[in-house]
Amino acid sequence: MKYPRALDDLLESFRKYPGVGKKTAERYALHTVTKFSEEEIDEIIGSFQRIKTEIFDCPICGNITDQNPCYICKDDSRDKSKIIVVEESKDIIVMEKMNSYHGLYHVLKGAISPSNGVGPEDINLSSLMERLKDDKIKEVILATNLSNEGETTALYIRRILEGSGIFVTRIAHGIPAGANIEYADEVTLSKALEGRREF
Amino acid sequence: MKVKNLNLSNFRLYETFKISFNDHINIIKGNNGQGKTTILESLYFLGLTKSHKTNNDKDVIKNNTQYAKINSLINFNKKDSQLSVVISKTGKKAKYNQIELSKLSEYIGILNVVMFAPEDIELIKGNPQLRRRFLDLEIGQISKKYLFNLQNYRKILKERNNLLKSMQQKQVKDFILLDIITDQLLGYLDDIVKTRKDFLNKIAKIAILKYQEISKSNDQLQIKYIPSIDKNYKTEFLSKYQYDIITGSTSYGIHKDDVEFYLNDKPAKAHCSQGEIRSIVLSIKLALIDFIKSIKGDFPILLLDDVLSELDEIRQNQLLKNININTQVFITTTNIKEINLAKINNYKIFEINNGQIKECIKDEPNL
Repeated sequence: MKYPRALDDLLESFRKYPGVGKKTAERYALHTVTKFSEEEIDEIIGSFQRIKTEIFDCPICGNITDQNPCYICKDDSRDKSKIIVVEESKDIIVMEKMNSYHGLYHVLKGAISPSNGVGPEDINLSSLMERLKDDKIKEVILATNLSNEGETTALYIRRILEGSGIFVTRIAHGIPAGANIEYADEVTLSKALEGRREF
Repeated sequence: MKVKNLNLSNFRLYETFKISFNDHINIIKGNNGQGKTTILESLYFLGLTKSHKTNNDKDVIKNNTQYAKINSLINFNKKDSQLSVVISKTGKKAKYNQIELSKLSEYIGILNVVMFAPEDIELIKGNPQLRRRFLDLEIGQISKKYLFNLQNYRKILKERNNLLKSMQQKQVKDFILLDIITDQLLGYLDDIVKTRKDFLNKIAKIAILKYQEISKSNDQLQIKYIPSIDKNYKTEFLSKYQYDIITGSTSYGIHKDDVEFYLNDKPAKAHCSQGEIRSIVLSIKLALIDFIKSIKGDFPILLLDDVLSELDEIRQNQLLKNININTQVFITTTNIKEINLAKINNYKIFEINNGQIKECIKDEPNL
């Protein structure tokens, strides 16, 4: 069957979300039409609009924020000698959950991938270079993903920081906590062995 | 490894197909176009998640249906396991004992397969791409690390070529990024070159003996790996940076490798007769069987597609003599009389007629 135009438009909007296919979009759209009151819809529209007016990227670190600078950059109790570099804002949320790092962050908003048309100038790299001019920063911790693109990005940053006197480190990879060695795949295991440390 | 039974749904001409196999030799006879090779193709697909005939997986899906399915009970390490592969228009999925594996690389190699088909003479005579495909398929079924390296190499090669193309248009060229992506590529390249070299060395050592047995001669078969590059990687790559930018492609690498075959120091491609070439390919396949056995501890299944009848009686007997009693073999033929059944014990014969299969009783006079 063919949906009315307005419903069809709504359905297409839902499909823009990651992980939402045709069926789920249909459910969401029909739920909106049949179950939501006008007040509820106004409320949703309101929150959507506030996203664009109230949320922006922190001019210092690039993390999403509703205050300038963001709560992490503003926090004077934080260790300003370390910066963790991540690909996306959501990576900061995970990092913060571990509750054991108390330094700063920098969000690249992507990773270098020529086949996707993303070069070094297309990610949030120049503002990182600006920040690193500050003498207080002693260590840059590269926490981009362990994919090929993430690795390219990390290697690129390491290269342009050569000779700057800043200590550059890369997060370790290997066996997950609590895992049995017998279940680790060969590739992970060989990475874990490469990255072994004195004990 | 033994394939105990096979169930196909919507695989090429078969809507549904069921068969239980013999542990040793299985002979499938029938006229051309009845679906003999399709059975071997499905067994090959079951092990390697690829067809030996096409690079387009969708080709195996029966017309006007959504997906093809191969289901089988195999015996490996004295244990029965259920294997299944589903091929749909959007991709393929593999299950091991009902559990879907997230990566095909975890599945490939559970069932090892060696196939010998008439078109395999192209391995010697055809273009280098076929020889690289041979290397990747055969090493891939015994080494997950190789598959991992290969997959990453291909991804990074794509990145590099895209970068080279984008650099063509730019006034200021970012050589740092090119350098980094080149280093990443070299990281995988080195491992792949070493693995290919090692694999071919081992195969060559066994194949030379197999060839002498099959041909009953002292002929010397040589297999040479011709890597596009195998030392001074970085300097060689560096010297081609400008050239690579102009062409927008990568000059060196495993995507340009080749393998050469020699018989008594003469290049097989130019000097060998059809029969000699067939014997070379056959010795390589027999060497593969021994090699896989030495690594996996069990024999792969052997698929012989319409090749037995193409060998003369001496070579045919040598081949059958070389097949271990513990190897499961699948042979297709149009003319059963061309197979010397007296030399085989423990066999079953199946007849295929227009997609219908039935087991033949051995005493039937018309065999």
